[in-house]
Amino acid sequence: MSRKFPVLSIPASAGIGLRSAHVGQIVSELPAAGWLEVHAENYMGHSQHAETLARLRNHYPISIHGVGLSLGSMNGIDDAHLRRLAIVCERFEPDLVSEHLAWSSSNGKYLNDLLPLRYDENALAIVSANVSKVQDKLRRRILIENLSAYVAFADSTMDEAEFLAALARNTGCGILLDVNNVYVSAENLGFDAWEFIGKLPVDAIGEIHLAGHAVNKTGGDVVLIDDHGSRVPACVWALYARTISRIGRRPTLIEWDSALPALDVLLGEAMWADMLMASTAFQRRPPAFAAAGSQPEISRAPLDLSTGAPLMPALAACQAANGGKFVHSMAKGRIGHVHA
Amino acid sequence: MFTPEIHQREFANAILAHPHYGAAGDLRLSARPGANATARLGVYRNNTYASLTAALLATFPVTAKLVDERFLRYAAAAFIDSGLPDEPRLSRFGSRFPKFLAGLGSLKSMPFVAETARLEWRIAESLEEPALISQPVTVLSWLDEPDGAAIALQPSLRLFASRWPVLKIWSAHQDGVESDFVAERLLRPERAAIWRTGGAIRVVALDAGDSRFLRMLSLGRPLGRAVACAHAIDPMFDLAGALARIFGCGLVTGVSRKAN
Repeated sequence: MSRKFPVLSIPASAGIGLRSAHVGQIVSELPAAGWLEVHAENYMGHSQHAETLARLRNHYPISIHGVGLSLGSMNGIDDAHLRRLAIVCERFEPDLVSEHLAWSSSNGKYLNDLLPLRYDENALAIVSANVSKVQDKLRRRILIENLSAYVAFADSTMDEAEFLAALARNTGCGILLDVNNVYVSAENLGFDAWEFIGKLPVDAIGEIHLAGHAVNKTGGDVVLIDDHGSRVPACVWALYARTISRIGRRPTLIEWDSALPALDVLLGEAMWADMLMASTAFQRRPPAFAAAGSQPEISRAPLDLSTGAPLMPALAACQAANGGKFVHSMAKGRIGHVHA
Repeated sequence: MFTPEIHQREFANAILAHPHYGAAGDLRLSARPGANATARLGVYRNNTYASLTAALLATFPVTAKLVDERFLRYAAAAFIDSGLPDEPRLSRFGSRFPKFLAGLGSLKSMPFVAETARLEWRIAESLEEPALISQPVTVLSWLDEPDGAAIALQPSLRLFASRWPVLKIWSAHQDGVESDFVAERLLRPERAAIWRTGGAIRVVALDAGDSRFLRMLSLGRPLGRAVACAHAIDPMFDLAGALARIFGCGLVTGVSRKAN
């Protein structure tokens, strides 16, 4: 696969998912979101929403996020759906296109959920071929998102992060790192979230997703459900802050799909992501900058949040990323997050 | 060990049949130590059913009001059991739902429920079609042989007919509408034209003549043929009035000299 794909032009700032309940307000107010992301499948017809998106395209960078291509299908992807995705991309000329490391279709039937793969060399070859086919059709690089998983498979010979890294090597695709998904899967499957992120090739990470999740307790089992139905929780902010401390700023999306809040709430979450990125960028300024001459030496001290308890989870995440140590624990049926 | 294709097929089967799938052990599921991985198939099953049910509720809101949302959720689950979507566009999911409702024994005494669902599906189809720029009635003036002309209509136009007063039912259940309509008092056929203007949907009652006229035009028949068909069903069909109405509503998107 050729790596001659256009360079991403979406800004390394926070964007929001465009949901129909907010469209009217966004069109009339044009709020200061860095960019907008839409689900490709909602724009494959000629609805008024598609006409509106075409207009918003003049005001915002747009990211097209596919949810139905079933890239992980072992019997290939649906050519008709790929053509529809290509038409959406031609129409809206998005700055970024992404899909999932998952499958949704089996025997021509669509389950409307993102299902996990058995990660092995067989699957890697097939998914690599699927991703290459998509990139060739769209004539652009796409980003592939890690999954929220509730089960894994004992016969997998590699983990999801290793699979994604190999996929990026094989196809030249980028990675959409969903930090909430990493956290959810890590808790559900019992692996270390930070170790997972550490296995991903930094240069391939082209976007980050943030969202809330639900905690479902059934019997003795606690399952985190990736429902995109609440604010980004402190544990995810902390993992995000630590991630961008390591890899630098990335376009970051606030996803919110169920129990939609007022637009201001969504924009507020995006604001926190921007603040975290700005704060972390300051902390990350390279030593060579100071060594070059007149610039003062950069403080490595944590942000001063001396007003007492952290006001917001994102601020706590700042503190954790810049000076604290992030620990999460899951004991006695209660999920807790401790900044030590 | 299952081949990759069979592994996915069986995983899908296990989700859909959960908790009655008998061979989950062959999938070799794993999870956090101490967790019951097989029980977690229920999360995937719930995701599938909940999201598809939400899609049906969004497409059939008036139908849900007629039978109560709880009943519609029950019917939706049975409908999903009968067949998953063929493709990922959820706006296309539900075309067979009206027929499915018509076949439910518990709705036999309320045939207008499935008919209302049929109207709502037509509306859903219309909403996904483009709204083209309409033409003024003056485009007719340059036609030298109007009988042979073709009149192109908005692609979002859907024509609907029912033996039940579905339009009145549908209108009575729109937000902000106060109505004392009782379905049993108005057992008479209704015909309607449905099309999209901007973000709004227009649902307009038609008489028999207008309905036949529009149907013929939408099939690409020549104007003269459409008029003859309308007259056949309604001797009082008024061509000038019908043309004024369809141009006035913005339904005409083009006129060509000869129909195909």
